[in-house]
Amino acid sequence: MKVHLMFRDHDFDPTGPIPEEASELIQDLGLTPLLDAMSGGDRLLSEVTRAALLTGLADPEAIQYRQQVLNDCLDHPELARELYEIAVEALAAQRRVFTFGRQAPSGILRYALRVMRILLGPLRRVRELADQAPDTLRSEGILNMFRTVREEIDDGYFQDVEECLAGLEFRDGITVGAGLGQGNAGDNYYLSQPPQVSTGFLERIGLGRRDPAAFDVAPRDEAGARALAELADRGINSAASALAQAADHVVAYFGALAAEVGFYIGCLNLADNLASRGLPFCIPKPAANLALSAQGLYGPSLALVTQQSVVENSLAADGRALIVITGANSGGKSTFLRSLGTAQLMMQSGMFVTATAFEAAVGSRVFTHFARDEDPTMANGRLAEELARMSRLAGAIDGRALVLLNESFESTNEAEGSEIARQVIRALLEAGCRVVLVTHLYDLADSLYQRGNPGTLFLRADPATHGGPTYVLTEGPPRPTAFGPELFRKMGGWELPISVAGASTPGNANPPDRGPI
Amino acid sequence: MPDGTGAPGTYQPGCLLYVRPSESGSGQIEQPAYFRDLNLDQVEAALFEGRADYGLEPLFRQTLLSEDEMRHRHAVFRDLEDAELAQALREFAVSLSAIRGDLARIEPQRHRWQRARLWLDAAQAYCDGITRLRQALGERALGSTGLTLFRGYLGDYVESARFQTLASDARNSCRALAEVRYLVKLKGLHVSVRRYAGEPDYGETVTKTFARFQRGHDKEYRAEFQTRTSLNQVEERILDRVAMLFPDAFAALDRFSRNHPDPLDRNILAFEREIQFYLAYLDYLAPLRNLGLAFCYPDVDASAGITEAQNVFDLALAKKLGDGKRLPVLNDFALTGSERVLVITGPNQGGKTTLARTFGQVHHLTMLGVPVPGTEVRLRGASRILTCFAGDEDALGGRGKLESDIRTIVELVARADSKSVFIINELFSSTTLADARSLGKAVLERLIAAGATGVYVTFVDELASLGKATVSMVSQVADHDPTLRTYKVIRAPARGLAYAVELAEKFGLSYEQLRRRIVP
Repeated sequence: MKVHLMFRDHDFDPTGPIPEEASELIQDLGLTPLLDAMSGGDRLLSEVTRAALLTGLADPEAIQYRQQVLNDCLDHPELARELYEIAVEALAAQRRVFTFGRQAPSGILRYALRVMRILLGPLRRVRELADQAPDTLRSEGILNMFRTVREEIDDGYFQDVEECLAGLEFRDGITVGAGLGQGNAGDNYYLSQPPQVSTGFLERIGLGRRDPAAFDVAPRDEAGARALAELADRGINSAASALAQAADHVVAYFGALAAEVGFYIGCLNLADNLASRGLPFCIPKPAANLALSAQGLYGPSLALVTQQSVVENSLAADGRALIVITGANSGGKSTFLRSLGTAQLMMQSGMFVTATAFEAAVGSRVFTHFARDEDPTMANGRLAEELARMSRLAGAIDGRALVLLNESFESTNEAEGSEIARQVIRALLEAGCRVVLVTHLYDLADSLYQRGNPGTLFLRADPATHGGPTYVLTEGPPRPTAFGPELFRKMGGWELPISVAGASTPGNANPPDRGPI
Repeated sequence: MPDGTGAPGTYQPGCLLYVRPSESGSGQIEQPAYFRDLNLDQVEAALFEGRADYGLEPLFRQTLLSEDEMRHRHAVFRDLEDAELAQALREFAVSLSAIRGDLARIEPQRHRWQRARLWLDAAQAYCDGITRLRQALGERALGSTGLTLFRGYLGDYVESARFQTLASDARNSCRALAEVRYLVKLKGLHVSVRRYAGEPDYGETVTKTFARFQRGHDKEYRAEFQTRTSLNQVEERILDRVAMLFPDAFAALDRFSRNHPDPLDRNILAFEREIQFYLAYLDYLAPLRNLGLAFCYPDVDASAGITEAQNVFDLALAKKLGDGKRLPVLNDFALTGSERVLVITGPNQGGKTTLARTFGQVHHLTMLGVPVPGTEVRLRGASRILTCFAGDEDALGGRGKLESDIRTIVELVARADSKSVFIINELFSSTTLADARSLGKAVLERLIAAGATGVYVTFVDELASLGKATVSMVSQVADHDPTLRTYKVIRAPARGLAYAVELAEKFGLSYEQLRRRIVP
């Protein structure tokens, strides 16, 4: 019996492998406030939403499957929350059943019987929910799940289960089947259905005539009693294991129900939080090729931790494989990059996104390479640290990846940093990736601009006007300085000699080795 | 076609290992001194793990003296490259070893039906093993003298009346007992036994009832019950009643143990020990071969004056890495013309010592007549392997260490001759650079003059260019990311550190490298 609310054809495993770039995504995109809002402190929700967000789907149809379930959950939040509650309570009740670490089969059987009896209650509740499901549900996922419940656990089935469990109480003794094994010791023990009662057998037992194939262990024979108990244990071994496995499966069903519904509960939690702040969200449109457009796009994590109004950006980048963002410091470039990466992750996990409209090509995975401030190790140096990190990414990136580069390779001088970046970006684009680049390397940005490739979009964060930084990006070519000196001066620094600001920009002299981008 | 190494035409114990079994040495042989330095002690321990009963260690320690003997063993190994044949021999050996264990356990049993059954099972397993082995050897093309002679012997044995009667008696008795199925009903202290009459398995009912919840992998809850060597009283009383309920099967069992008191053949037992040497080595190789590592049959030719090997690796290291599904780095070495010594320099942890050990291992293994790591291995041969690895600094202290180094090296130089192979590793590191240079130079010049070939690992760059006899090899500059280390040791002068773009190349981030790395 499957839940299948996350995938049409298989289970969702929140404990499965998370891509190795996940910790960098969390750090670079600042996902923690988003994940916290989704989990609301619930450990299971935390695990589930984290796994779902970080292992996105690469197939638009699979995304739409979840979007439909999500829409049903947004329409019927009480239904989703009740399902989650039933599952979580079932799991908690099961955990309260006392168990020893390693047990004899008789102990395992007792344990499994107890768990089974406890879980029959929640199973009945799920069945009732399925019976009473509102007819406004539309998603294939939820409709199928309820249909399965109605079909698989009908009334006759509950009766079969009760009978099966009753047979394991052994009110008329235990019958053990066996053959002869090594050295004629009993072998292949199993729990047998009690022998069919034949008249002859009844006579042999009942009518005093001594059965030559029967014997009694003496009442004070302790070794004999132990041997009988062991024989019984050998006999019920497989049946006890089968019941314990069955109990595991029912527990796992509730585990899956909690995990899969949990993802949507996380979405509901986030939706409530955003709504309370008056922030918009929308179901995105997963598309193919190089679609990418957004309106009212903002970063949820920043919005969740700030009291100020969030800056919303629009973007029209259909058909653009490379987006180059240049411009002033504190001009909102990184924030924009984060909101774009986060929206892509949310879309690919099946969530809504924080925008008023969002349409984007579905890629494989999202990779981030952000300049890091932390102290580099002595052995490597900052550039080597960046290179090592990029190299690790390169081992995982495929041709459908979205790669976000934020001030990459700026830890060496501009000419070298630009050359490294050119080679990396060219290789990524030719492999088929989409690259969004925030850079202060004018040599790099300008050389990309000079190519005049229509597949490249140039955005610029304009310098702050009197009213403070605008944070809004506009389309425009890179400019020779990144306003660092200006900002520096504004913050109370002194005028930098012009040669310093200009030294690292070789201007229009084309370096010989630039590959075509 | 047998390899024609002149073995006599009938099978006798020892002929799987030696051309002339009667002249071969036997008994205990100490581990050679160089085993520890070359990590061959680790290889030996791993090789014979689980085969202690066979006492195979001397075979791994005693190098062969003639190329004839090496070819004799190569021929057996080549036959065993037929995976089906090797597997058949392996299964045969496993079954024989189990049978010996079973027979040894029979005596102390008290219950007659148990004793009789153990005897029968052992005999049945023996017959099965012999029959399967004969089928496996069948009409296969065998190239080795050793296996060809054994096959002839085995054929005659299987056809003998003694074996044929044993096999058919065992088969009939086993069949009758296998059909016995019974039920034991336990209620309180009352136990009743009866013949099975089609009652279903209740465990299956349980499984079926809950099958619809089945998802993925099942955890195993079944308790392990030990297969006992003796029955308890209740089990004996049950067995007596089973015997009573199935009189025919138990009568046949009784006849069998009286008619066949001594089933095993001695020559076949001897063969099983000898084949273990080959199987042990192949078992060691198998996982490494599965990982893609190559082994080859080395050419030994003292007169050609060439020492050459490609894609070699350290056999002990390969095992360790292989357990984690990782591969050792492959290296090449060659000493041709007047070249005598590989002088290896370069940064630490770059694979220098590993290549030095590999050089020694390849020589030892070649002289055992076994397949060696690498491809196209041609050696001068080695009557003697001499090693000198720097002692443990902490254990000996500065001055003591230098003294100990010098003592060992002087001894080594004194023993070296033109058929010797030496491996000297990082000596004189406890002294000054000038001392290390002059001591090293003196040692190398003497060894070269003696005509020995070998490896000298050193931190003194100048020793790499003493003259035509020395070949400079350098462990490649370690990458800044330790996971990208090359462990390649190549013929080359040292390299300097790179500029930024070159650094990027080291991280595999140049345009060309990335295009190869990123799957579209």
